[in-house]
Amino acid sequence: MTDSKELQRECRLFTRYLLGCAPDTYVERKYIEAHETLSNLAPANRFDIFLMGAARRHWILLKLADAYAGIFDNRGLLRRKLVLLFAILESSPPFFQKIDVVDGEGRFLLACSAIIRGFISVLSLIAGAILFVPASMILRGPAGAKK
Amino acid sequence: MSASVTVVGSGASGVHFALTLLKKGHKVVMLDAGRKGNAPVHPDSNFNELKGRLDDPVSYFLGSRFEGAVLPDSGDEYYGIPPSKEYIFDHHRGFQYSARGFAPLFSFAQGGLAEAWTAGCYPLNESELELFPFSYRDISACYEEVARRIGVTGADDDLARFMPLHGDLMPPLNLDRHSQLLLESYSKHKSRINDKFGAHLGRTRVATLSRPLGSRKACDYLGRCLWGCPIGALYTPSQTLNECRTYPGFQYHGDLNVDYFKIGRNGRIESVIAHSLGSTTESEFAVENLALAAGTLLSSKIVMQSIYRSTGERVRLRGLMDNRQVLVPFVNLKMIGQPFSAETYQYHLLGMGVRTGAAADYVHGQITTLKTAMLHPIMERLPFDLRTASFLTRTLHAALGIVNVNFRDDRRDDNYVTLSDTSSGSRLEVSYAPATDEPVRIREGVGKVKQTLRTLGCVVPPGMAHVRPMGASVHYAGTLPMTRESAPLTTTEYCQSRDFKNLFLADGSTFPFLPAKNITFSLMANAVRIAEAAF
Repeated sequence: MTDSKELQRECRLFTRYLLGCAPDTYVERKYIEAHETLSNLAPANRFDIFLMGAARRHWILLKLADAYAGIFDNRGLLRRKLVLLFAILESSPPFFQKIDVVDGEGRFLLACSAIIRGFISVLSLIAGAILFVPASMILRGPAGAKK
Repeated sequence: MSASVTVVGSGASGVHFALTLLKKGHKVVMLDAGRKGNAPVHPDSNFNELKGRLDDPVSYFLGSRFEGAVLPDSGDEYYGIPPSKEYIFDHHRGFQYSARGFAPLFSFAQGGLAEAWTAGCYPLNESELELFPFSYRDISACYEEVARRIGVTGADDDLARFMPLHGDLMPPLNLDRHSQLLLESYSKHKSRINDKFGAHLGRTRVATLSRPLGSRKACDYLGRCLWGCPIGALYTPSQTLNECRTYPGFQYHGDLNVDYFKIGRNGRIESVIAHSLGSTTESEFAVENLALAAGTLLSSKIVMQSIYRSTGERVRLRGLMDNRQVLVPFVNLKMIGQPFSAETYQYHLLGMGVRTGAAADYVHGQITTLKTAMLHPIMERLPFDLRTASFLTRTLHAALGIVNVNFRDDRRDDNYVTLSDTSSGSRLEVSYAPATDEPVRIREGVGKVKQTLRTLGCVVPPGMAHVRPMGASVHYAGTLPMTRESAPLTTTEYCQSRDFKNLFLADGSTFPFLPAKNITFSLMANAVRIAEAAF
């Protein structure tokens, strides 16, 4: 079972990744509380443990693991935890304000921002797939079926 | 002469049936499960301000057990029932049901299922009433009476061709920027949309006040409709229940589940047996006249249980109907990158009527533009990493919308409700299979909606349309239909049972046809009609 300290560290890393800022104690408390309440926030297989381990190591690995999960493992543990944290953040002041703000001013800047983000997203997906597809096949078997 | 009527259920039908009787000087005893929700919090705060004012906003928005968080493997719809409204759908201990091809929702709350409605008020027109044993002329005054009671906003626009205009309409609510742009675009492309796709756009009729009515305030545009209007501008049946309580001839018994009625030798109902929700202790209530208004499924259960108790026969009530709903998300290109206002009406402000085939094949769409809402249910479905998904959702927020497309349903014998025995009592069984032509009708109807949206300057993302499970619309009807010809397990034009003379069915169970419209307004009008005529 994941302990509170570890969940707190995870919450901090994930919040920085999602919103570029640190969570407050309220968000950390709710994140830990959710893990104590919900039954589907525990690893279901060895690959969940591996992907979570990689994601907790460094934000770059977190980005690659998240990009991989968005396409290949969108019901997996990492995706569930990130969505849960996002749900907590969008319900909590002042974090919801960051979520509501539209990037850039004007359509040109917005389009530029979208192109750059899209490019990074595709690169992350390719790198994530190179890293995690083989691991998934080894740890879950070729079919990728959850055990 | 003053009659005494026992009404089971405090939903939309029950309260208007009761209020009509009380206004005529009759006595009403209401038996009700009557679960209540919490009082609204900070009624002066808008959606975003509320987050800052609550001590524990996550518990309010996601629930104390995080049941409102839509996680990737939950299989939930985009937007489910928020925690503040969960009490409406909570079952009581001991209630058992099983369903095949149907995902039924039940309510044991004060005000019933319409405590969670989106307030759409669409009168049925002459062609939709063709199978009913009365015409629009017989019910038009009742629509007006209900509109006077609850406050309905609307306009005489292109949608009026599909839903008759009635008196006592309040001016429509203020449009948000996105809805305004859609309507402007419609004006520009109107003839093409009308002629090519048979589609028409207009203001939806909603039971949300645009100006004060009695003690109720007009809509404050707080963006909190989904969590429960904090000022009561959006009508719910519990408001009419409160009005009923002001009459000396009204008696209310809550915390009761009605099990069955006892039938006397003369075929009349003599009493009703109910038990308290928290216990198995039975109570018996003598009745002069009985009106079931517990909703189609629960009223059917009471009738079937009563017949079983009386004769030992397990009957099947056939002809269960519900509207199939398909959610079609869209992105309005003109709204991309625009900010959204938190001070807005959250539910649908525009409607789309689409003519397909015969007049009764009308398809109705409610257009809801995304304003205040939780974004994680949308984000989690996007095939990107969550940082990118978050950027996209933020950028597209004000541009997103959804059309909830409704399809009609007919009574068919293979769709039924019945009861079965279990070790701990009887279980309601619901069986439903869609009509064989449903996929064709959905393809045609949704196709026209998508073409209309594209003409309005919107993009419809491929593969994102979601066919909701049957039962999700909660417009259940048809199990004890009103018919012109006499037959067992049917009712007269005034919804009086042909099997038990002092029994009235005041809810949707008597509807012989289900048009593609939210029927709640028609349920209320029909309840007024039968209460006016029968007593």
